[in-house]
This record gives sequence, structure tokens and C-alpha cells, in this order.
Amino acid sequence: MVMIGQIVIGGLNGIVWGLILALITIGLTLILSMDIPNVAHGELYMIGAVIGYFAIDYLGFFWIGLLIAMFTVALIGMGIERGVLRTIEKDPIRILIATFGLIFVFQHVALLTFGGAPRRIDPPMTASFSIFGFHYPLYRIFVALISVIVLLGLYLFLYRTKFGLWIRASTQNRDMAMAMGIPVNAIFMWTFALGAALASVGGVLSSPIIAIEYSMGLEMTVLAFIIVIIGGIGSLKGTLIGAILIGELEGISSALLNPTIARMISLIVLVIVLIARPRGLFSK
Amino acid sequence: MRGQWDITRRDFLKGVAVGSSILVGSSLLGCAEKKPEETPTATPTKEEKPSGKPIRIGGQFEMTGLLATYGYWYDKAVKAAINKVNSEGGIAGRPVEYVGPEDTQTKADVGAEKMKKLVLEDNVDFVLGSVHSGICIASAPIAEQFNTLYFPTGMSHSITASKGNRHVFRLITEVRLQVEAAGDWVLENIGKKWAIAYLDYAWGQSHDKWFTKKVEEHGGEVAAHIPIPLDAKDLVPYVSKIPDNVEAVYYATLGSKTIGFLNTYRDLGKEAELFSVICANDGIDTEPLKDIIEGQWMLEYMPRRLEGLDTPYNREFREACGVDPEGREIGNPKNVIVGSHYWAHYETVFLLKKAIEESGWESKDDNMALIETLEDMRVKEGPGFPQGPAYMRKEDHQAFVRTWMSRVENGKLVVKKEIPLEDSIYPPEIDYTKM
Repeated sequence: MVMIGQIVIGGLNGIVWGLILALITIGLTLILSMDIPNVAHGELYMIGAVIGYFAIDYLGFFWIGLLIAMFTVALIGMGIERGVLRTIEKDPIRILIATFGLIFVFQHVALLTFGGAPRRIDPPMTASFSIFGFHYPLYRIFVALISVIVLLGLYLFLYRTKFGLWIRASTQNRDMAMAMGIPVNAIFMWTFALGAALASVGGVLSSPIIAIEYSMGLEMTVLAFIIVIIGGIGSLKGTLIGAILIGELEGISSALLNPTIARMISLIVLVIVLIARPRGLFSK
Repeated sequence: MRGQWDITRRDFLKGVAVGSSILVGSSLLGCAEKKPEETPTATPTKEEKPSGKPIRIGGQFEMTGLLATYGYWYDKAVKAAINKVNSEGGIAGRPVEYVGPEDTQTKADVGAEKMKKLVLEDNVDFVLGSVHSGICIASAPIAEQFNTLYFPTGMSHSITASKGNRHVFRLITEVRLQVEAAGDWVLENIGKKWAIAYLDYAWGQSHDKWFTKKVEEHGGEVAAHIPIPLDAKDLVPYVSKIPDNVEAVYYATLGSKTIGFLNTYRDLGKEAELFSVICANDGIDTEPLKDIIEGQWMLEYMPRRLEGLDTPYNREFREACGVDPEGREIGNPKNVIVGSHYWAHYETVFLLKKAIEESGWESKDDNMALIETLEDMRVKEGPGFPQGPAYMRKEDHQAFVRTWMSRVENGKLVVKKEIPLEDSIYPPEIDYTKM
């Protein structure tokens, strides 16, 4: 019974955690679809969490803090796109180096302002429910629902609006899009801002679960890239499936096995997926 | 989706791999005198200004990376100690110069390079070392090779056992000592049926190993050993493995993993008592975590709050480091001290002063005499030694100090019991004097 409960909790949590990871990663997918290998994506997630922490600490309102973090990081994203990336947009190696540089900038700004010790944002709800003898926090379910809503909204935005069409056109063939009169530069700036804002939302929403630390961005960058590569670069559906796959693999295998072995198995499965589908599950 | 400049998947992965390897690196990360009964002197009056060739003390600290909080406070403590020593006439009449801090970035390879830099380029006489056990282990052979005394603060047991040498002295506690100090008390007072959750690397594994032995000695049971991968973010898969029928959980986590662990523990409705060594929570502000940390037991190596050790020496030490009675930085109250760690480097400066003046040390040529003086040294609580009495064991160069069992009450660490240093002594595993 206990084992069944652990597997059920592992499975449920795998989906929930996968959706939270998808929320954090989806912004990277958008940015990568513009051929911008932004390795500082995790730092946008971290900066979002830090700004959210300060805003919530000052104002005392979780949701207002979330909005402040989202808009502030969107502005930072616009600044990065216009001020750093626009001038080197045709050179991926320079973009990689520049975004690596941004990692250090963001980390040290956070170290100076936030400090080196981890902190936590209080969850806006603390209720839980019982399943197979295990408690499970309602907040996680709530965050997972937000992820679903955001992902659905993003899908509708990209595939059912003119602006979404422009984004897709600009990322598929930039010259052609310009020739058709699409304001490609503005599209790229807004898309980058949107990706940054999504990262910050992920940062704030996950902070009551995993705590905030100035160095947390790098680990998330690595995980986000794994998810994107498994799912297929540029694919929203791939990002969602990749994130849930990772969440499930860890959730269920950790319930059954020693966690270290579970981690090895989940990585082996991911390698097998890549061997079978070298361009990812849903590459374009 | 491909743009005008085509970045191939292979180019992209190559770039990410190179960059990631640069950044991730190997990150991550767990007394003084032969005459034992010497009475401490009162705070000395100002003496003559020190003169002559400065004694150079290097700092190899984590100023950035996962353990940056430690470096911040170590730096403050060393500066405070050296200011005090210099204002009181220096060491053997010579001024003391602080070289550093050299930032290890919390990476073993960088830490070892910084050790070499301090010794070979900056020509320091002594190195006050990292809290990162991997860095300490990598630096110990360098200390021996270049005849430089090294004072690490990493907690891995092996630093003063198989991985140490005669040039390495540790004034701070370590995992086995902590288990010896706390083990009997927690097993007699908290419970006999435990689960152990630990970060899955040397430090956490040591806690699992030594506490399991202690539980077995007491006829208790460890119902679950739960390793947590270092890069785990969501801890539900691990915390859910804690059986409901255990009386208590011993957890050995660090930094954000501690908050994640405590959050998840609460979220999953776990109710067994919690115990940890303070390393899990040092530098972390416990007051905002009241809802998840209240009531748990912790072993402190020096009380965070002044109330737990209100002596004139501790008051002087805290004032010099800019710490308020609650263990917060004056002027920046969100910054909480690593109170169980930073005292060690403060005291090491005074330990060196005592040993140098007793041994007649003038340069590294006299290091053997200095080593022999440090071996088996004892100090009593007093100026320069606010933490209390200490005994530096001759065989393995591990110091034994008193510790405190504290409980979180209303979000604050409240000392419940002082554990004398004698309770933490275990047989030495090695004898450097015979090697």
C-alpha cells in the first residue's frame, strides 16, 4: 500500500513538476526559435524570483509581486535584445559568449543585492489534500494549472493571432518576413521579452517550492536545455512533453529505486530517446 | 525554424557544452598551549606598534558560488582578528598582513589554484582555508609540498584523517565529531527509530555513515537511508520515501536544498521530529521559515544568538564583526551570520599568535617547531577564543570544542544544552607524528 502510494504520488508529482518545468522552459523555446542560443535563460528565471521576493516582501501581496517581477524581467529582456543581442544577431558564437557574460552579470548583481544565503517566498496557499495516505500540497496543483493555462494561451497566441503569425513567420524566414512588411526587429524584441517574462513567472511560482538562491539559474539553464533538446528545438509541444517526461521519469523511478540509480536510469532513457530521435521528439 | 544565419544543432550543442563545462566546472559541492591549565589573560592594553617583517596570512575563501555566504563572514572575521592582533602589538612584535580573500568560486579546481597562488606567488606564511571539503582535500597536499601550515574549515571527516597531513590543522568541528557530540543526546531524548535524508556526496554520506553507527550502538534502528542527488530540485520523490512510523528524521542538506527539504516535509504532512547539524541552516534566516522549521533540533558549534553564549569575549568578537545579538549583520539585518563557522578563522589567528610566540617561530624554516607547539595545544575561553576551550589533538590535528544543542522556538535558535568538548572525543584514526 505504501509502495502504491509512493508510485501514485511519484506519478502525480511527475506531471505537476513537469508542467512547472515546462512553464520555465517554454520561454527558452520561444527564444531559441529565433536562433538565439540564450544560455542566460536560467538567470532570467533567477532574477524574476529575486525581484518577486523583494516585491512580495515589500508589498505583502504574492500576485502583485508576481506581476511586478514579470513586467520588470520583460523590460530587462527587451534591454538585452536591443542592447546586447541586436548588434551581434548574425553570429551565434558571439551570442553564446555574450549570454555567458550575462550569467555573471546577473549572478553578481543578485549576490550583491540578495546575498548568498537562500530564502523563500511564502506560498499563497498552504492547504493540502490526501491521496493513498500521502498529503499533497494544493499549491503545486494550482501552479500546474497556471502552467496549463499559460501554455494554452501561448499556443492560441502563436497560432490564432496576427502577432503570433508574425512571430512564426519571422523565426522561420527572417528575410522573407521583412520583405512582406513584418516589423521583424520589433517582433524579435517582443518575443524575447515574452520569453523572459515566462521565465520570471516560473521563477516566482516555483520559489515557494524550491527556494531562491542567487546561483539557482545555472542549474535550471542546464535542465531547460535538456528539456528543449529532448522535445525538439522550437517545438512548444516538444517542450511540454519533454518536461513531463523528465518529471515522470524522476518521480516514478525515485519511488521504486535508490535515487542515484533512478537519476542514472532517467538520463539513460533520455539518451535512448536522443539516439532514436536525434533532433528531438517533435523537431521541426 | 531556421533563420538567416543557420546555427546547426551540432554547433549549438557544442557551444552549450563548452560553455556549460566552463561554468559548472567542478562546483560543489559537508587551542593553544602545552600547559593545559593556563589562565586566560584579560584583554591586553594597547602595546607598541608592531614592526619588522610582516607575517602574511592568506585567506582561501568562497566569495562567490554556492557557499558565498561563508566567504563573506570569514573575510570579516579574519579582518577583525588581524585588526585586534595588530592593535595589541602584533605577533611577536611583528605586524600581521592579510592577503586575500582569494575567491575559490566554490570550485575544487579553482580553490586548489588559489592555494598555490597564495603560497607561491603571494608568499604567505599561513593559509586560512575553505569551507568546501573538496577544496580542503585538494589543498592539503599543496600545504605539505610547499611547507605551509593550512587551516581548513571543511567538515569532511577525512580532512583530519586519511586526507590530511602534518601541515593541516582543523580548529572547527567535523562530521564524526558532530555525531559524537549530538548522537547520544538525540537518541536518548528524541527517539530510537530514525530516517536519514542526506545530500548524496562525501559530506552527506559521512553523516549517514557515522550517525547509523551511533544509532546501532544505542540499539536503535535506521528505517530509511535517503540519498538526495546534489542537483535535485523538486524533493517530493525523496521526502515521500520517509516512512511514517519513524520517530525522527536526521537530515543533512545545505542551502536551498534545506529550504526545499523543509518545505516538502511540511507539504507532505510528515510529522516526525527533525534534527540536523547547523551546517544545514547556517547563514539561513530561520524566522521567516517559522512555519516549516519550528520545533526542530539543531547542533550548533557556536550559538547564533548572543543569548546562548553571553560572555565579554563573545560580545567583543561579535562587535568586531558587526553582528547584533540576534546574529544579524548590523546595518543589513537580512544578512545572517554563519555563526557556527566564522569564529574558527577568528580564533585561528589567535591560535597562531600563541603558537608563534611560544615556539619562537620566525619563518617557514621554523615550521616544524611551530607544528610541534600546535600539536596537543589547549586553550581556555578568553580574549581571542570566544567559542570556548579547545584541544588540538596531536595525532590527527583535529580540534575538539564544545557544542550546543538548540531548538527552534518562535523562529529563533534557542540553546537548550551545552555539550562539553570531552563528549565529542573519539579515538584518532591516524597519527601524523609517526608518518
